[in-house]
Amino acid sequence: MYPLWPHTHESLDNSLALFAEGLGKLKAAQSVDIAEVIEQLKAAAEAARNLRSLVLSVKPNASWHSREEFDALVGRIQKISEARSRLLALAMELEAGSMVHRRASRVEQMDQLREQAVLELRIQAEPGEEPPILPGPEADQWIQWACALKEPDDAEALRALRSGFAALDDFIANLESDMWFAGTKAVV
Amino acid sequence: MSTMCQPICTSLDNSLALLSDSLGKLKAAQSVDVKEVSNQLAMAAEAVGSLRSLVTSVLPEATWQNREDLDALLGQIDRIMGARSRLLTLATELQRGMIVHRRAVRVTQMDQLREQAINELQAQAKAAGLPPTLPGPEADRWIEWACALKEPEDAEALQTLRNGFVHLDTFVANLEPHMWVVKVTTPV
Repeated sequence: MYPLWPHTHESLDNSLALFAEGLGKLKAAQSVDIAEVIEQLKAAAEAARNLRSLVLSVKPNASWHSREEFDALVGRIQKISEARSRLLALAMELEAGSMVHRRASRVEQMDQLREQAVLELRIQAEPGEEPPILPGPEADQWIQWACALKEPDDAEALRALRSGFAALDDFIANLESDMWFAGTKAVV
Repeated sequence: MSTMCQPICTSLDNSLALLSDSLGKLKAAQSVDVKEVSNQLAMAAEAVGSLRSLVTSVLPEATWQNREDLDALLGQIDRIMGARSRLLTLATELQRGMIVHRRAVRVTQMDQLREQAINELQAQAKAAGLPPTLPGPEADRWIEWACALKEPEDAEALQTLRNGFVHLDTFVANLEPHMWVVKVTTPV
């Protein structure tokens, strides 16, 4: 979830609770501090505006008509946000690793493919469209997993990879698992 | 001397030996069978024609003034034919093998590189003059040898390979030894 979500959500709920409490008193013809109720109203309106901004920053074309629809949208956004984090984590994993091969030209070729894959992951993670689903485990195990995929046994996962991440798929198809050293630069 | 030159040279030398005998007889004012000597001359001329065709087919610009020059040229042709034969044998070896990999896209890519390498070898074997030097052992052990070359230890062999055979070099740089399988033909 975006870091501001819980705070803004809580802020709206708290403001609304206080405002509803004020309205309840009015309904029971009890005395209320009108200025205070107006402040609660303003606070609730501001919290609502903040939430709308957050939602629209992730899904610019989003629309909703009820709290249920809004909560469903927030849940969806949370998933998108997690998917983006996953892509960025894998991009970092790719950047952190190194490749070794007997031929310098092959290392250069693979470095170019890696660079394109990293760029693709970062672009897919940018705000705007919903990113495609990246199949497979978390970033630290992802390359090992992807290098073990083979046709025709893993056709479904490979199709998902290819259709969403063509450059990443190119990199993986060309990578042999013994060429990859995760995290630190390999000592040649 | 190459197997192509040898029979023609032998034929020429035999015809000339017979003509030399006839010349000796004429010199000693002995009778000769003119028809037979004419035939020997025709055979010698035919051998010369074949030899000239062979020389110019391999070395179109070649010129020579005496037998020593010709023998030197035939030695050169022998080396050229040997080098060409080596290239064609390797081309056949590349055609005979098979690429295996977990990913179909990589097999396709490697098959394309292999085809380019084969075309290059065949084109170099057809070109005029001495083809570039192909480093390494004979065809049946060549791929294993080439896949074991690494930088910087084998920089010289790799440089020679790269200079003369760009496509072949690209193919072996991209080939992992476990990807190459030689088809075994079992006798029926």
